[in-house]
Amino acid sequence: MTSRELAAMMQESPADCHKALVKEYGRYVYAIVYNRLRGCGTSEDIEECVSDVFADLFMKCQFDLSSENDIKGLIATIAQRKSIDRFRSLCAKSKHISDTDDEDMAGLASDFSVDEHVDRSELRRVLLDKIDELGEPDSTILIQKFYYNKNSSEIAKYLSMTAVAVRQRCSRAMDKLRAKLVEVGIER
Amino acid sequence: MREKDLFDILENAENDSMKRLIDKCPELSDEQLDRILAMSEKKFRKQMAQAEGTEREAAIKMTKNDDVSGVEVAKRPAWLTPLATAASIVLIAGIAIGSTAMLKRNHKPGGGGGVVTPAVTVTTTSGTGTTPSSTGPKGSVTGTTTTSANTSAVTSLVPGSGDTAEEKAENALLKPFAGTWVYQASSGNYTVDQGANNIGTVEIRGDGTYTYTENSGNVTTDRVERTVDEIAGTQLVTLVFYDGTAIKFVATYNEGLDQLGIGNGGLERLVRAGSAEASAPSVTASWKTAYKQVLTDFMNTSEYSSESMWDVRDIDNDGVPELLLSRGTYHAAGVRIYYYENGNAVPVLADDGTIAEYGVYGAFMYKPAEHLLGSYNMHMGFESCATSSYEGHTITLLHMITNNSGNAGEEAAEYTIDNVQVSKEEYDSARDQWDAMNWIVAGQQYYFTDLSPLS
Repeated sequence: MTSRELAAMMQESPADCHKALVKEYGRYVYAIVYNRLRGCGTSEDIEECVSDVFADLFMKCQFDLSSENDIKGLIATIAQRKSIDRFRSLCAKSKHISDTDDEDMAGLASDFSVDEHVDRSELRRVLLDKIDELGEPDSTILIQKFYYNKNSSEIAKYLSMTAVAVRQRCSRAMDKLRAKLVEVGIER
Repeated sequence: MREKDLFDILENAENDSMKRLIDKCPELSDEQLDRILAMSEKKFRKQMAQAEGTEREAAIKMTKNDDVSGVEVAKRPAWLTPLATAASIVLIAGIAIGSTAMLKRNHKPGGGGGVVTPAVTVTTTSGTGTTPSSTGPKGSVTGTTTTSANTSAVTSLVPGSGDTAEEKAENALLKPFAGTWVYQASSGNYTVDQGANNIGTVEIRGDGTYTYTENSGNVTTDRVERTVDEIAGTQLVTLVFYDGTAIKFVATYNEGLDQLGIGNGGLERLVRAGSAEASAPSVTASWKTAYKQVLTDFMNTSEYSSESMWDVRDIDNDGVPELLLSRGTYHAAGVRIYYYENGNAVPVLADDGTIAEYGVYGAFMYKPAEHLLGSYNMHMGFESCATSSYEGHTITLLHMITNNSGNAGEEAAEYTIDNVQVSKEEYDSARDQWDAMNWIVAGQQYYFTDLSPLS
């Protein structure tokens, strides 16, 4: 969807435009927010953050659409920023830092390790490559089961399979993935 | 490495990895999308209100060094306060003395009083009260508080009577209204004068009785009273149509149009049979008019909000749809179910006699052929799936399966079926069956700004 199409829809009916945006990009925004909040937020937190993204997007649509050609890029940017904000607020709630002296600040500043970041990034790429090598529907089953935390019946509905078949394929695919990771030296 | 830990590596992915994860993201359910949309709209409205407030504040250009000018400085003379106090005392004393003198004028010398026999019995009331001002054909009344001087010439009339002098006098006042009137309701989302349907006839008789015949066949015969309300200096002639002790509807006479308007909304009226206005299409009062009345009444309550929605679905497959009324789209908002019976919209009640609400987030699921209702609830890591029967306009819980894996974690999770703890496999099997039931989601098809589907 382009900004021009969006502006035309907004002019016709803002409510319909909002509905269309959520329907079209709901899954896209959810995936971005989920990626950031998966480890620290509940499903309600994630939905809350997704709604924050759309509220900001509606504001943007209301006032300024002229500079945006590809609406998807704009949505991704808002989603990333909002999810980082929400991540920080959730982390702050769970471990509030008080009485921070200079020594602690130095420790915090050195927390981010470039090497570790690169290693993790590489590991992520290899893992996704190996999952993709399993082919469909195994790669989707593993990602939805272990990354998106969906249960077998939900995955079964998405893939038009039975829940029993999903469980069986999942178990076998996981064994295959472990073997593939061992081959490239990843085992812990 | 445990599976979960292994996949934790995928968090905080960069663009290329993110793209691959988005492709495999499961579809969001319609219910989830509706929930997100409702929350987004709410936040958006709040942000808009804040933005408008900021805009207004920004329009005020003033610095702390600016002088305030144009303000008149008032100086009062020092003697004004004691003079005003003395004047007040004189005024109060004057009122007290004057009142006493006026009261004494009515006393005969020697203290004689006597009893004065009234030549005419007239009931006159004056004061502040609640005047029924918005009514519908089903007898529901919305009160509007007005200050009025109400002069009622008659206290009560019994159908068929009219023997007393007062009743005869009142019946004479009703004579101008005697005859057949056509009961008209608005045919759409506008007032009745813009488009009307005839939904029945009302025959007003000179003896203080009326007969209301609805197109559906319902007939009501009872008494009608004429009252005159004086509101803000204007006299309004009002006819109150009773149904036993309850008021069926109240009509205010418009002399210019020779019509009786029902309620304040301009949605219903009585026009004389044979007049030009009476030639509107005739429709049978149906579930549509009954349900429309429920929605209109709900809009006048404090429970109504811009998030309230409604729906019509034949959830028990009996050929007549039920009205589903959702107070809102938040978690605790269930759906009220009304069914159509004998010309009325009747709410489904809970065991304690209050109006039952089913579902969460203003929606629930149903299977019409099997007369089943379902409700899925996910909150604070607790997940539950309920199945209930809807038979004889009563909701009965049949099964409930729950798990708390989102709260306690997969390993410590407890799974139950009908409050009995079961294994994960048993739970999954029951959950698969529940998921496979092809539920239809209902409760949020229309906003209250659009009642046209009931026209």
